[in-house]
Amino acid sequence: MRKILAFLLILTVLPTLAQPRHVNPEEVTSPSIDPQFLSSFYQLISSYIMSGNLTGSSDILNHLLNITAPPDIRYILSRFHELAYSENELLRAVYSNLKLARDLALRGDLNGSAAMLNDIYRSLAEANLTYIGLEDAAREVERRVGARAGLVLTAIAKMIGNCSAGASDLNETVRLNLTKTELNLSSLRTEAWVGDSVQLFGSLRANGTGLADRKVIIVADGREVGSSLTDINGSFSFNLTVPYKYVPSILIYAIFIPNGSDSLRYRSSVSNNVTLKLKYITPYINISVEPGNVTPGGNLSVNISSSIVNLNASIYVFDMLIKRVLSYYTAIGLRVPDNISEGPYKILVLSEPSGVVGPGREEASFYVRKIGIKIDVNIPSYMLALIPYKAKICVIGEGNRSIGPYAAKLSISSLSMETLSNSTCTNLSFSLPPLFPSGSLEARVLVIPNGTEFRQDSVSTYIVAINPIMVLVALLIPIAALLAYRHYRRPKLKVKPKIEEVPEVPKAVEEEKKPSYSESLKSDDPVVKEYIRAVMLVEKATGIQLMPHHTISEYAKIVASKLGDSSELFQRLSYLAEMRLYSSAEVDPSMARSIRTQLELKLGLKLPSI
Amino acid sequence: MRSYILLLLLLIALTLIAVTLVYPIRDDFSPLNPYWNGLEKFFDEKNASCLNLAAADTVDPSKNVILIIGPSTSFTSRDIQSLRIFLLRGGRVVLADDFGTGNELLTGLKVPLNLTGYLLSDPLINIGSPYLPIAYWGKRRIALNYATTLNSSKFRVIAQSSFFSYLDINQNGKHDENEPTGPFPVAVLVPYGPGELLVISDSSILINSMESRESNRDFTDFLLSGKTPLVDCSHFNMSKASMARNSLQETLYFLQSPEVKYSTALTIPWIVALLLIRNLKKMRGHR
Repeated sequence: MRKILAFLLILTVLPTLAQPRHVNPEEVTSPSIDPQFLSSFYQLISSYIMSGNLTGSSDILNHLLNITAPPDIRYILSRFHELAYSENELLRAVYSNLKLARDLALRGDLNGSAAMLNDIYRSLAEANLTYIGLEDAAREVERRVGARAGLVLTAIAKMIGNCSAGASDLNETVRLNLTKTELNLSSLRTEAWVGDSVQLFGSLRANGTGLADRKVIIVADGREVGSSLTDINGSFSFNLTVPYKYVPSILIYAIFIPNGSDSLRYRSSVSNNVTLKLKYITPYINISVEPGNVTPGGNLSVNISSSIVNLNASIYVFDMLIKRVLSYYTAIGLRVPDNISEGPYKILVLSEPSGVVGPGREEASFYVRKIGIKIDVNIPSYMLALIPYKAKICVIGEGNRSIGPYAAKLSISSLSMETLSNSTCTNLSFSLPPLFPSGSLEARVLVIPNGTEFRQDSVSTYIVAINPIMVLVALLIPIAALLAYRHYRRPKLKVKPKIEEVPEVPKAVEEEKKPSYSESLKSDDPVVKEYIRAVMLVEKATGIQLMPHHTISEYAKIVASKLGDSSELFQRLSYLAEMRLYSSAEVDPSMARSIRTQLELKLGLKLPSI
Repeated sequence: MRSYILLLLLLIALTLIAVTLVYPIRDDFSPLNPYWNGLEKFFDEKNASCLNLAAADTVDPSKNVILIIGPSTSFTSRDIQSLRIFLLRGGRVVLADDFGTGNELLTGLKVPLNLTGYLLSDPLINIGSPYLPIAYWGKRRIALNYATTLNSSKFRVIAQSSFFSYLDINQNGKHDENEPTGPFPVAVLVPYGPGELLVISDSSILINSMESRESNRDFTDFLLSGKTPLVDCSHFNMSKASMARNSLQETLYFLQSPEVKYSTALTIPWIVALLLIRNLKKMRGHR
């Protein structure tokens, strides 16, 4: 018993321990925000701002604008995040503009740099103004939420300070009256092989005079490749090794950035661009794929020819990467994956560059096609439920080829069955279930070949299903209704016999009816006569017959309960009859008559006189 | 006396049938449940119907989308094979599950993806509780309800949780140091041959109380892609009341078979006519 109780308890408790899958959103109450969790993000924002990653901090602040909070702190939190976000955006603009202004100043565009500085100062002033509101909001967040909003505040203050310092430095440089410098660059050659050496020449001048012993930086294809010092005439030369870039051409230029005391005298400058055409060998690669149409699981033969040998090549096909060293002719055998879908596919060959040999690229197309199947279904057009039937399904591939093992699935309305077969034709045995509805139905046969090279297909045909059970049910319904109707109609006719019909009983039958015991009693005594009449009345009223074995008092007792109020009269009359019969006492016959008359009146019955 | 007992039994039977039909179903994800945790609204609005997953291979992929929402019972090999065929015929399947048996299906279909089974919490971006987090579907927001996450690096992520979300592994309602933080993928698209499988790590986005929250309705339309939804009803845990109602419905289905329907339709007027004639005769007799 205890075990059963424990088991029931476990059964009751187990579902409550299961992971809930959802709650009613209407019934949840917004919990207060975890200050530590929020502080961890303020810490992250602060570190981003400090490291100059203002895009990162902007991203988090942007997310924080959408946070859900209880109504009492919602406003203060959203206000703080809004202010922090706008402050961050201002500083982000200042930070990037400052970089741009510095670049312009470096390139000698002091006017452009000065214009940008004006924007920077405007944004910084705005940031200072917002900071006051941000300070108040941060204080409130710390007080009411308990999150360390001060971290963000401190980081922003530091960033404002850094930007202001950077702007002041730049301002000093830009406002100084610096001398403009001119930098020229040239080359004797306009084209060169990759890896080759090219001599570059140039000069650095200020007001037409060459600047001696100044460092000039050479930039090729966007990368600093070296530097050179100017001679006494301000001229310089540089031996450039052409980078192994397999592009049509590269741009080369020189930069002069004043250093030390030069920064207070000269402006920086950038030379003209020198374009150098690059020469390299492009390998000729050709690919052919056989056959052009292939089935899943089939074999592909890929032939690659290359004009240059020993090239490292990467071959991409079916999400696979194959590495090969190419010779003049390279043959590769491939197997098409089984689970691949039909459609056009490509094979791509990329050869890696090596020295003066540049990269090679070639691709070829082929088509993966599944083999179609033809399904023949032989199924009876008319079917009876419960009778076993056979559907003959024959499947053959295109070109009369066998498709190997396959699954054939037959579905008729809700009935579905399947079979596995290895031969061209298969029989599927089935019978319509007992409650299957009759009617015209679609029988669909779906064939799923096991071999991935074959396409699955289906055919449909219409059959007429007749279910004798259901037809019987259809017939039984009206029959049952009719029987029920008749059954309930009969008793109603029985209970309402017409009283008048009673005399119609044949007389002969009535004559044969035995007289009751009371009717057979005869007496000359007037008191007993009255008693017999009273008995006949009581028999009529109660339906209880006086039997030969009854004594007078026994009969009076038996009928007493049925007579109700009249029983007293009958008992008095019974007593008078007993007195007269068994005690030879004198009894007044008029009294007996009077009692009988009263009884008649009380019972509302009257008998013909005896 | 006997007829009184019969009448009483008939009354009891009718009351039971009426109560079974009228008594509201409160099962999770039940299409007949009009309360917060049911799918009645979704079924009504999207004209969805129930499907037995074993018959998925017979569904027309050009017209229907199969939805498997919050499966609770195991998938048979027949279910999986049937669904695989539907997918290989170019069908779209949506699996929305969190703590159910969805991983069984993913394993069966050999999809290298699974539901982590850890509760997703977002204390900052939610619809009233950290366990009702908001996820981002592009720039739009979708509301989740006791969701988990997906561990997938291979497939296209359709929706992900916010930057502030984390996995509440020990379910203490607080972020602990070892608990990974978001964003986490909560909906991914898995190409499956010519078909596609959309896996969502929350089973509740379609329930009555969630379907109109944030952009959930738009997301549902995206999942259905204009096709008629067929919802797998063969993997829900059903209560006794639901089972009784289902049995009644099956009986009604039997009563709707052409034989029973037409035969009853013919018998009833006939019986009514007989009763009328009898009553008319009786009335004449009284006169």
